[in-house]
Amino acid sequence: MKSRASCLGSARASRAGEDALAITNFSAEISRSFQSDGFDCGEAPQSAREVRAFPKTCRRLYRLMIAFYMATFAACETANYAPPVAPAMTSASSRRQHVDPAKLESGRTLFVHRCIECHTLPPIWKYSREDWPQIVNEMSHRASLKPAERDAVIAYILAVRSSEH
Amino acid sequence: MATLGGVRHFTFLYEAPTSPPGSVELENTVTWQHGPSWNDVFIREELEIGITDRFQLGIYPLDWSHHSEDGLQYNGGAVELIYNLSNPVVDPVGISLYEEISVARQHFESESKLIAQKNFGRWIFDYNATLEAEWEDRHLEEHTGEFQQAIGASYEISPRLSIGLELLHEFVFPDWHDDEKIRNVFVGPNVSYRRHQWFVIATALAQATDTENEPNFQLRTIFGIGF
Repeated sequence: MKSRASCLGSARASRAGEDALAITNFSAEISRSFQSDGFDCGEAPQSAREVRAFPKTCRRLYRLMIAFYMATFAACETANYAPPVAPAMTSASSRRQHVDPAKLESGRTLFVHRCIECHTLPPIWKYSREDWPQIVNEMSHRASLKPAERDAVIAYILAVRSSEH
Repeated sequence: MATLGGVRHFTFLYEAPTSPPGSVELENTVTWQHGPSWNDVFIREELEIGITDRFQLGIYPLDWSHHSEDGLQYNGGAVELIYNLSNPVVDPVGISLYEEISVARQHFESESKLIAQKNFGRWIFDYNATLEAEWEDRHLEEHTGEFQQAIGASYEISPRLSIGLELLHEFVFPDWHDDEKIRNVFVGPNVSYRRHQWFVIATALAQATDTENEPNFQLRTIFGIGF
C-alpha cells in the first residue's frame, strides 16, 4: 500500500503531467487555428488570378513583410538623429577641446537610451551649440544621468554639431 | 528631486525602452469596461524600478476590481520583468522581452510578450505579441489561454503632448481549445501628457467585433509619478 506522501507525490506528478499535456495541446490549437485562418501559405502566387485566389491572410503577411523591409530602410534615415561616432567628430571637436572617442560613444549610447524614456529624440541641429548644455543640464536628473554621464552626452551632441559645419 | 522611470505613449501596449537604472516610479492604472448590461472597473498599482540600462522590474502589490455582479474583489499581486535587447532609434527595431507572473487565491497567470518598437522622428510605432495562460478556480482546474496582437502609433505634438491610436486583436482559447473561435478586436485613440515628474495617459477603445461577454467600450488611464 502506498504511503500518503507517495500518493500525494503521484497526484502532483499526475497533475503536472496533465498540465504539460494541456500546454502542448494549447500550442497545437494555436498552430491549427492559424492554419485554418489561411496561415499555411504554400507557394507564392504566380499570376494576378492566383493573387486574387491567394488566402487573404497570406496577402496580409506579405504586406507586413514589405512594411518591415520599408521600416528597415527607413532606419537608415532615422539614424541621423543620433549619427555614429566618426573620426570627423573627434577632429572637429579637438579644434575646441580634447575629446575622447570613448566618451563620445558613451555619450551617444546614453543619448539614445535615456532621452527617449520621456520623449522622442529631437534632431541635434534643432538647437544651437549654446542651448544644448543647458537643455541637457535641466533634464539630467530626470534621466538619471550622473555628472560624468551628463558631460558625455553634451560632448557627443556638441561633437555632432561641430562635424556638421 | 524625483527621477521619472519612463513616460507611457500607450496604455494597452508596452514600449521597448526600459527605465534608467536607479529610477523608481509609481503607476496607477484604472480600466473601466462597459458591456451591454454591466460595468467593471480594474485598478492596478505598479512600482517600477530600473535595475540596469536594459533591465526593469515591476511589482504589482494591489490588483483590485469591481464588478457589477460580484462587487469588489482583490485579485492578488504580480511581478513583471522586462529586458531590452535593442534600441528603437538607432537599431532597425527596438525589441524587448516581457514576462509577468500573477498570483492570487485560486488564480495563477503567466503572461509573456514580445515588444517591438520603431521611432521615426516624432512618430512611435509599437507592436506587442502576447501569450497568456491562466489557471483558475479550486485546484486551478479552469484553464484559459489567450494570444493577443496589439499595434499602436503615437505622434508627439510637443515634448509634453502626444496623441495616438491603439488596436488590439485577441484570440481567446477557453480551456485551451479553439472550438468557440473567439476573436476580439478593439480600436481607439489615446492622448498622453507629461510634466517634469509625472505623466498621464488615457485610451478609449471600442469593440469592432461583436463578441458577447466582452466589453463594447473600455477606457484606461495611467498616471505615473517619479520618486
